[in-house]
Amino acid sequence: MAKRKIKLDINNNIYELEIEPNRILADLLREELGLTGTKKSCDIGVCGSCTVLLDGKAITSCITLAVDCVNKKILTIEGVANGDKLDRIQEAFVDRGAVQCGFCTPGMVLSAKALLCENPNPSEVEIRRAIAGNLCRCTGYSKIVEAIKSASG
Amino acid sequence: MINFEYLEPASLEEAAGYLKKYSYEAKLKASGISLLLLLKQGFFTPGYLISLLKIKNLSYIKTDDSKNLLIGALATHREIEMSEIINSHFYALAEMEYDLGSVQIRNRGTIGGCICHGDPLIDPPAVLIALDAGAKAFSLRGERIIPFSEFFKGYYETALEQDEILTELVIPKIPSNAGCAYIKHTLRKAMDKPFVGVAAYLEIDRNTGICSNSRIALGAISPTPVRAIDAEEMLIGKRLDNQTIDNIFRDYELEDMEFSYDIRCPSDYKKWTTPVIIKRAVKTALERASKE
Repeated sequence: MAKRKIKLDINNNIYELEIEPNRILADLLREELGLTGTKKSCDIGVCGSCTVLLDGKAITSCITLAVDCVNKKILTIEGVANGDKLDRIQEAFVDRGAVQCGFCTPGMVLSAKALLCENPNPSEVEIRRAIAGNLCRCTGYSKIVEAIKSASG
Repeated sequence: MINFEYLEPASLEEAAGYLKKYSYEAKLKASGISLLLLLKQGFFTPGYLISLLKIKNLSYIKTDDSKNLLIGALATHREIEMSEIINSHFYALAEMEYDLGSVQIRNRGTIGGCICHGDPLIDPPAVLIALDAGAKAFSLRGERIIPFSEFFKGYYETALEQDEILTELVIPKIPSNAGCAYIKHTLRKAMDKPFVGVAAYLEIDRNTGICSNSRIALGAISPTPVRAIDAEEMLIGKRLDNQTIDNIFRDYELEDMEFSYDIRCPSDYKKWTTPVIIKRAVKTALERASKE
């Protein structure tokens, strides 16, 4: 399978890459670019731990081909904070105790970010629907919903 | 992950040309949400994957001069869910999309890809059949419309010929005296595919309150979606209200239908619950048809 040269815009950095067309975005981020904040768990688009934003919209990177992301803006959890300053959603997660084992957290934060960009004042139902594709097996979701609510407005 | 040659045609003609050239060696792909799962498992091993994502103007949602709804095959589930035209005039479609997968899946998954995948356990077919919709298929031989009632042929099998590409969904205008509803029954709200998905469409004569036309489509219960013709016939010609609907369906059983087992739901359970969901969908459709 012939490799192809592509450019990907990830966290506002342009990466010039030579990849096989069957390369999955989540694998590329983790294995080749060292962006291991994007987690892989179910690997079938169900758990949401691999969530990244593609042109501002939450997607599951484990069932996305990297070649399909050319000319689009990819945001991973590494690009959410501004230097050492956490994004307000990240701060809210810390303040509200919305992180336990932390494996779902990058995906949760990115789903929350996409939601708040689209809808700055979501209701609890809207928050729960926005993170319905992100599984957390520790928190029972209450603290996560609280954190997103407190980061809104 | 299997190896394949990745082709990215810029036009339908070019894509159809690849299909002709590589024949059964090739597989069409939109976002790949469903297909990649099977490719990862080595379930399909196409030598050529033809991506349709570079083809422009295939993700529209619009109405034609007769107010029929036209949806480009590459429109995403999320675009359909949020579309103003669909929420105002074809609400059952938005209702169906509302609980399909997760936001992540709806953001990327396309309606065309979802349908052509031919998985029986999906939500769109029942609504499309209840709304009497059709699929526009393009090939180098020309175009044709396939009614969705004849589109699904079995597990991962559709009526599309090897050289055909689904380009558009055509959904007839819903008259003002009609109502349609989709209700799915499954484990949880999010993520889960339906055990049973029922779409009910009713036309009610405004003067008499009598049901003049009805289509009830059942999804996910068997390898292909099916019409519950006997249930439709029980409704037509009756003056409907909730009490009447309860009476009509009191002893209703889907006797001659094949209910398939799937990993989350035994076939007996599907058989018991389907009449209940039909009744609920009919009541909701009636409520919508009766609204001014």
